[in-house]
Amino acid sequence: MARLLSRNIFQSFSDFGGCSALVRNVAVGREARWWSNEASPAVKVTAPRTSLNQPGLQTEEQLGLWYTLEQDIAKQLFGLGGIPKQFATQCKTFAETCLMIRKPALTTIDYIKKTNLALPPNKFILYGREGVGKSLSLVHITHFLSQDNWLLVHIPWAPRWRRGFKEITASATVPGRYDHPLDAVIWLQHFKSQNSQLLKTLQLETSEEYKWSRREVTEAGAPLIDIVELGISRARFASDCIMAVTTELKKHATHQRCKIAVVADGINTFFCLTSRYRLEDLTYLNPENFTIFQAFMQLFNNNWRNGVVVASVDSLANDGARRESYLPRYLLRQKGWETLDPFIPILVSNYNELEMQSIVDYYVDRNWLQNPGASSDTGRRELAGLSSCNPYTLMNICNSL
Amino acid sequence: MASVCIGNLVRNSAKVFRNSYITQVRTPYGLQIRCWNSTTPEPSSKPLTSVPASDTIKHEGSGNQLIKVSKAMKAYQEKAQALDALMFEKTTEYEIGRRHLANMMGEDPETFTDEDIDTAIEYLFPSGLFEPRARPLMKHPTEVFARKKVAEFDETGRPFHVLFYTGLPNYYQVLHDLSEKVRELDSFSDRMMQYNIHKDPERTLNVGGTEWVKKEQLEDILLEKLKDKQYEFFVRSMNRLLDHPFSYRVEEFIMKFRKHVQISVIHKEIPKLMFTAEGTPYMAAVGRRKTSTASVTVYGRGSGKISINGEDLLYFKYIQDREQVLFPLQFSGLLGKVDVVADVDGGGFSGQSGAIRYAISMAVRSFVDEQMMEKMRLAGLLTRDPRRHERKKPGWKGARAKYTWKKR
Repeated sequence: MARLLSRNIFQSFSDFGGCSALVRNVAVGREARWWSNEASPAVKVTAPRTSLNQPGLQTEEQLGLWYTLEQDIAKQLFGLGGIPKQFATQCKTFAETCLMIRKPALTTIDYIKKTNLALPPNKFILYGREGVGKSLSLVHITHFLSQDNWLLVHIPWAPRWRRGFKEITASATVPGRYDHPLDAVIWLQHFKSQNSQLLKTLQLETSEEYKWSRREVTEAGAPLIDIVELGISRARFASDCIMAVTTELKKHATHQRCKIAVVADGINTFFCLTSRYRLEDLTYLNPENFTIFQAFMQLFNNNWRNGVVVASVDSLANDGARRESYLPRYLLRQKGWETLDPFIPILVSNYNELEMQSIVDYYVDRNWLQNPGASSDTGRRELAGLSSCNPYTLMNICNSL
Repeated sequence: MASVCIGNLVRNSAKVFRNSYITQVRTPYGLQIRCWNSTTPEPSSKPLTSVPASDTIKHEGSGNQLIKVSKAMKAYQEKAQALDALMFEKTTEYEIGRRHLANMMGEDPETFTDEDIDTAIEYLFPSGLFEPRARPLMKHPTEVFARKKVAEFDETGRPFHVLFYTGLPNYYQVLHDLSEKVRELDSFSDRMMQYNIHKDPERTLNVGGTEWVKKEQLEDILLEKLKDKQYEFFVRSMNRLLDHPFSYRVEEFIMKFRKHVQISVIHKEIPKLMFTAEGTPYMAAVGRRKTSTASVTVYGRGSGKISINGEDLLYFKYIQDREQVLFPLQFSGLLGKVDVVADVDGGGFSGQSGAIRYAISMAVRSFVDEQMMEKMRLAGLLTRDPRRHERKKPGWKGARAKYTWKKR
């Protein structure tokens, strides 16, 4: 990259040198003032931003523009995951969390607005090649859902529970089931942080009694937040708490006490055949046996109402042997395909020309691209060529070495 | 074979010699010695030599006068005689051999040419040796044995050349001539200055496509062994002469020491652009590197789309390979203006990207002008990379690397 662009640097330096020489020569002449205006530095590139920071208000006119996700909202919604790590690092560097408004997110938001909640939940599956922005589209959509008073059941990156788990123990309550004590606590904290405001106003109550141990019991009619709190304080019961929470939420939604949005990144991991947990007989455990998987999988069914499921299928959520295609049928396998059926597939693709212009402008605005040739026409074409307009590749190219 | 006379004692021959730098055939009157290193054909019927092997010789022109011959002269005569004898013998052998060969091949010996000899030798002694000089050959002795200088002194031991005692008379003669030319040109330019005539751009010496002879070639011309310093001095002096504004006046002298550079580029016909049914210009080319082969079609009036085996440029995981593919387009300013469809197989990613790069460069030639093509050639884009994987050697760690040597 540096090598390729060096030619441009050289060119633009020589251009600049030529200009200043011109000024020096003509400065003695009559038209010195006119020339010096001509030679003033090129127009400063600024990021194309929009002040419409509510995703619900954004329309197609804002396509390719950048909107700011305020720091406290970003922390509340995605403090415990959701924004891909590399993008989060970049946001920290830029001292702001900005998202580009792109077509797939807008389409999904539009569909969600038009959803008939009296029917079983609509399911939107974002799909596309690696690094095209599925996760960030989900972030955009989640922001909308949160502002639109949906109760969020947000799964930041499901494969973590299947292969990057912290600890797995056999369930004490149901034989043959396996719990994620620590991961479940983290998710409950995430859930609490995302929905604390809404849970207070909705006043959701438990519909039945939950007996965790001899002494710890959650009565029927207790606030739902109690189960969450208990799970956070008692890691041993956290997975069962999640099961209880999702079951309760499903009931409440069906009885129209709240509307629930299930957001899952890498949903195809739920339908994989093996996890990375080894049993005593050295076989790999089927992730169906995870308590939290069972808990969330019941939300993917069609037997409830007043909800919406937004998810992404990602080849990276599958194991290495099954990543040849990015299409949902291949990634979800038969089981996932049947479980999620019917769903609305939404394709996320590489940057188009407008978005490419926008991202380079943004990077130049943030002083992330400092090469004077980067914002030139040649520089843009080189960046587009090297990255094939793939957002993730472009980000890597523009990163420091 | 020529007959060369060493008997010429008069000074005026030195003048002829001075302007020639190489051994000359001097007009004989007097003692005749056969010398084989001249190009004049030999009267074949004459016997070998007329030099009497004695200390005194008769001078034909001046009666029966006895001339004292120096020891050095005598030694030289003997050496020359021996050499001539050898050459005569070899030439006779060669002639007989040639006739035999012609008979063996069923050809007419009288019309059997050198080319026929080469073909016959190749037919009779087929050789698989790689180096052409190592293969069997049959050539005329003048081509096989090295040239030698003829005598540089008369029989009294007096050298012909004034610079004989420099040890390198021919070399220093060239330098003398050179300085004389410079002086001539200077005085000429002074005269021109009087008429206010400066350098005439129309009449300049064009030495394009030539270069100074190499040291070995200069040695061949002068028949003298030179040191590196002497050669460098020669080149420096010649360059001064060449830089003179009126150097075209001594073109003949300069060109004697310049030889044509072989132009490495073979100017091939560049294929003309083709057009699809929709009128889009396109050009196809095939490129190879290592074990990869790429067939590429470059479409004009495109938007920069690149398709490799049906995928986009991210077919190549590493940025270096992507740079390789894009380099010819970036270099020629066509990036984002043409579409590329490539089909590549064989080898690994660096070979594949190199093959595509070469194929794109070859195809892009049809889209750009002559100047850009020359730039691309200088950038190495139009040269096929001939490097291959080098085999591992038995007993070694790799192609070149050896195992650590341990005494025991």
